[in-house]
Amino acid sequence: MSLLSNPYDPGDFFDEMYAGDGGVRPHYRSLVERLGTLPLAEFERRRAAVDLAFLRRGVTFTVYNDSEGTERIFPFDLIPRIIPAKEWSRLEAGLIQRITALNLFLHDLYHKQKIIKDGVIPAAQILSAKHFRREFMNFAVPHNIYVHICGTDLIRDRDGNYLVLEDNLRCPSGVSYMMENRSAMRRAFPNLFQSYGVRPVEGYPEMLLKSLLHIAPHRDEKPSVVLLTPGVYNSAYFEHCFLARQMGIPIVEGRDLLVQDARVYMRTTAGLLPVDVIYRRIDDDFLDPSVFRPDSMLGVPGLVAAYRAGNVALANSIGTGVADDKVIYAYVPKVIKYYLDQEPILPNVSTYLASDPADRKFILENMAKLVVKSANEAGGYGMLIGPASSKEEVADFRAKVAANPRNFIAQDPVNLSRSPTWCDNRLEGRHIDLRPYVLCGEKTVVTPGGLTRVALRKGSLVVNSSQGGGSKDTWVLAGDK
Amino acid sequence: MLISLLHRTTFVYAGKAHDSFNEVRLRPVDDAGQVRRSFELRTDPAARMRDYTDFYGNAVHYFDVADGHSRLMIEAISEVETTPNSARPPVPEVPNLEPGSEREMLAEFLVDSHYVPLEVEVWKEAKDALSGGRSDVWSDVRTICGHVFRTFAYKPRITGVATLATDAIKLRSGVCQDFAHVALGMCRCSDIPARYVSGYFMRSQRKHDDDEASHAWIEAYVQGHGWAAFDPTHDRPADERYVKVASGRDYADIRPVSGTYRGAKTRSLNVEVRVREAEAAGAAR
Repeated sequence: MSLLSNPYDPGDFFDEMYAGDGGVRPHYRSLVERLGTLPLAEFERRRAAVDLAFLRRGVTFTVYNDSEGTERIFPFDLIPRIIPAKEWSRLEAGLIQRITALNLFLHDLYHKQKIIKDGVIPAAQILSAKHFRREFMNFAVPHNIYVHICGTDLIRDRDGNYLVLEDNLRCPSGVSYMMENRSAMRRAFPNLFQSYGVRPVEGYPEMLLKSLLHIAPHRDEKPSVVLLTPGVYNSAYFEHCFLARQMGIPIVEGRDLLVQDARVYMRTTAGLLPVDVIYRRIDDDFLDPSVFRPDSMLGVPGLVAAYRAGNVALANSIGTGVADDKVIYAYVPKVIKYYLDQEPILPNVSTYLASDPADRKFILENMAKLVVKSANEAGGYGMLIGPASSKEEVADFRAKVAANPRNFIAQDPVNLSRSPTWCDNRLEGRHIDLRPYVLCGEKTVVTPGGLTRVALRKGSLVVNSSQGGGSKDTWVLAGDK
Repeated sequence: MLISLLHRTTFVYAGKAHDSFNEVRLRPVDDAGQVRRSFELRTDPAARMRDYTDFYGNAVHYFDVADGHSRLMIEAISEVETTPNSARPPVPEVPNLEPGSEREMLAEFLVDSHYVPLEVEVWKEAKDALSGGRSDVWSDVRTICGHVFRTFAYKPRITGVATLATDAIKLRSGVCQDFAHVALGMCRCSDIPARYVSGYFMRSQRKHDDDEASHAWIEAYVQGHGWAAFDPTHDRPADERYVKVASGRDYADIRPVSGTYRGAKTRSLNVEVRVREAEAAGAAR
């Protein structure tokens, strides 16, 4: 008996592997052949070896609001998600187009605000955005790059069209899983990679370091770069350590840095060493208690003063959150058109704004059929999936939306595409999304791959790791099969 | 009127403080109502001063004191000439702002802000105040502020720096900061764009033991005129005796002195404010 002896029914969804007629899509054929010859016991053996490796390497994340307060292993599924070259080149072009427009948008918002004056986005939407940082109006960021690291969440609808679900422009995480997944797969199926022409993702840390060096304020010396983490209790601490190690840069907490005369230094056993670039994995609010939240113990007092004085660069810049606000998201297609005079290559999911009276009425009346999200939360927190919720949950959310409309949006539920996933000793279709990583430095580059997250619970559409999701390796092919 | 100002803030630490980072908004503005003749800012221990202009046009000076110190003094001395009452244009009687681009740009002064949550009790307070029906926007602002003046008691040391407008409504008392926050909430619930103003007020008759302090009032947006200032603590428009330092959505945007430090567990704070009509000789200088 092999893995593929009884194919599942793709049902009413777009399946990554099976075409509508039940045949296997061309770019999955070699994989199917290989898995077909693999005895079940051998597959299980490799799966167990991968699980053990993840545990040993400490590839974990933390779940918040959980009474057990536990660090967990990120569940990994051995069946890769495969993207042929032609499909990828379109995704790549779409992602570059989007981030280019978003960087222009942020520069404009923090300077002349032409897009508001031209009536493309109502001023009220910007002025009421929680992460619009008034403190940084007219502040010049190096090379006008606001977002250096971006993780964009993509999904596919019933017809297999890729749609942008959200942009993560503050501190996107997950890239370490992309790399760990790849290294696990290379060990589990060493021969498959060569014959398949899977493009490598291992260059990411080097490209990230390049983007960080690009914004160093003192170009004449060898710039020093550090990664600033909130510490061991952060859900992505594993990733912070991983990236710092891969790039060969120090990982520091707020208390390891200090500011003197608007210059940032790192405390070391050899005395104070100047710091030029900070890859910060701390949100704006916690960066500097003397400017933002006074109760923050995570940040560095005076950091903002040093940033303002141009003596240190931050990636990402301060204030990028205004552009990944879910209300502003709804305007991104217009943003692309406005700055680039192009049609968006990757469309948005159709979105209703509760702040708009007509949309609000529609949302309140149809809530049980919609996905409702709060404007500034991530990780699957603060959202309602109408069709999967009880009457009480819907009523609760209706009151929330009525009380603070600016904070909510609603979307038509998208039947996320499904990918074959190993569940209880057989392959079944499970819903997936994709988060590719974009870096903006001297050039804008997209790592060929990304983090494919999978909703492991049957029928579930929530792929977030904090809500019971797992992940898969993502193969971008050099060719089309 | 030529007004001279002194604003001195002194922190005394129980032990040594170090790595102290501070932002201050202490420089009076230049606008139609006043001209800044001079401004000096100094600290002890001395520090290198840097500055930027914030989103609302306020001057922000920032500095740090890295070395250990047991005391930090921040002193702002300025001289401001205010426009005489006779030269101030009257506020026209116009209806509230129509929807449109001008209103769009004022959106943040119509929604809730940190100290001014737009909760049901604020909205009720506004309904009560305007129960006689709406009039032109400036009259409505005066009605709202008059309501606050009459139905709230001015009582120092009941409220604090963290008191929200909704807390002040429960207590029905407070100081100028609370009066301003309540009035702002009521204006915004009534769809009138309104902002917080910090500054100083010169008392013409001063008793010897009066505590002098900085003051706060509000500005409401009147179409065709711009921002018009009203003081709910004294129930009158801000006139030539008022010196404006900064404006924003509420107190959180204009904190005169804010910062952090390491070291000493506790500190005491002393603020000394002096507001005087400058001597004629000073005027000629």
